[in-house]
Amino acid sequence: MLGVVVGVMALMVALGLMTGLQSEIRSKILGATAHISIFRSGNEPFDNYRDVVAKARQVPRVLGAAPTVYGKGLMMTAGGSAVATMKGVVPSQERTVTDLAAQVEEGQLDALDHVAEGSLPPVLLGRDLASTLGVGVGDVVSVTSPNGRLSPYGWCRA
Amino acid sequence: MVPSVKKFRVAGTVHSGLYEFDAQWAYIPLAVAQRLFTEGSLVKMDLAEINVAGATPSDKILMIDEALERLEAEDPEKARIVVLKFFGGLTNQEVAETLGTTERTIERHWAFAKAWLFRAIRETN
Repeated sequence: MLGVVVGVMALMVALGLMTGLQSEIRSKILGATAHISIFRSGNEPFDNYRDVVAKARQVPRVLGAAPTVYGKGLMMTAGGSAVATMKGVVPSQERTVTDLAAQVEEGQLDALDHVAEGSLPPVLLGRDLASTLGVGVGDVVSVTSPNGRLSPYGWCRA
Repeated sequence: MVPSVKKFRVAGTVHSGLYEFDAQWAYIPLAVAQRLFTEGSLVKMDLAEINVAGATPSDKILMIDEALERLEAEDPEKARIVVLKFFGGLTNQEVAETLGTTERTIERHWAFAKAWLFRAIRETN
């Protein structure tokens, strides 16, 4: 009798843990990225992304859509360097797609709206990325991106 | 490839609970990411497709105006072509007639001026 009780209890606990873990991981992953990403083939940027976002919103049962630009860059500070995946977002639209606003620990997501002429553009860093770089709010990071530079002959690619 | 370097100021940190995200991801304004990552396509968007009367952010116009002033100091004729085409909305043929030159010359100067302005705008960023 006791064996059956312990056995069933262990099974229930294990199942509960697995289910909880699964839904926890799923919600975290889906909270950090969109459920569906739309890319243009050939890695080309969209000619008119606003149309694409508007069309995506018209699809039945789509609750939100937001434009994004992804890129990789090498981040450097006095304290260290790290390769970062940078995501360009529009805060008001990003809210309809991910939980980013709730995940901001220090500062505000809306800080990305304030791009003032003459001052450096804002960046929100992942917590562990910030600690790798040894920076906090108000510090400056340099980003080196490996894209071409414009010249009178077009884009330089060496 | 010629890399480009851009400085940012840290405005905050993000904690999603997933190490892969928190150790690698950084979020920046969309317009800045477009300039940084989407290569030449933005030249067309910034100069040829901007509708001055429309809801274009004023800082973009200011940036172009500032760059235009510098182009004017260096090459007044090309700056005039940009003013006529971009702010005046004239076609190549109309600009050629206004300046008393050929359409082909306008095309050539326009291409140069666009590249020059784009570089100037990128450098101010």
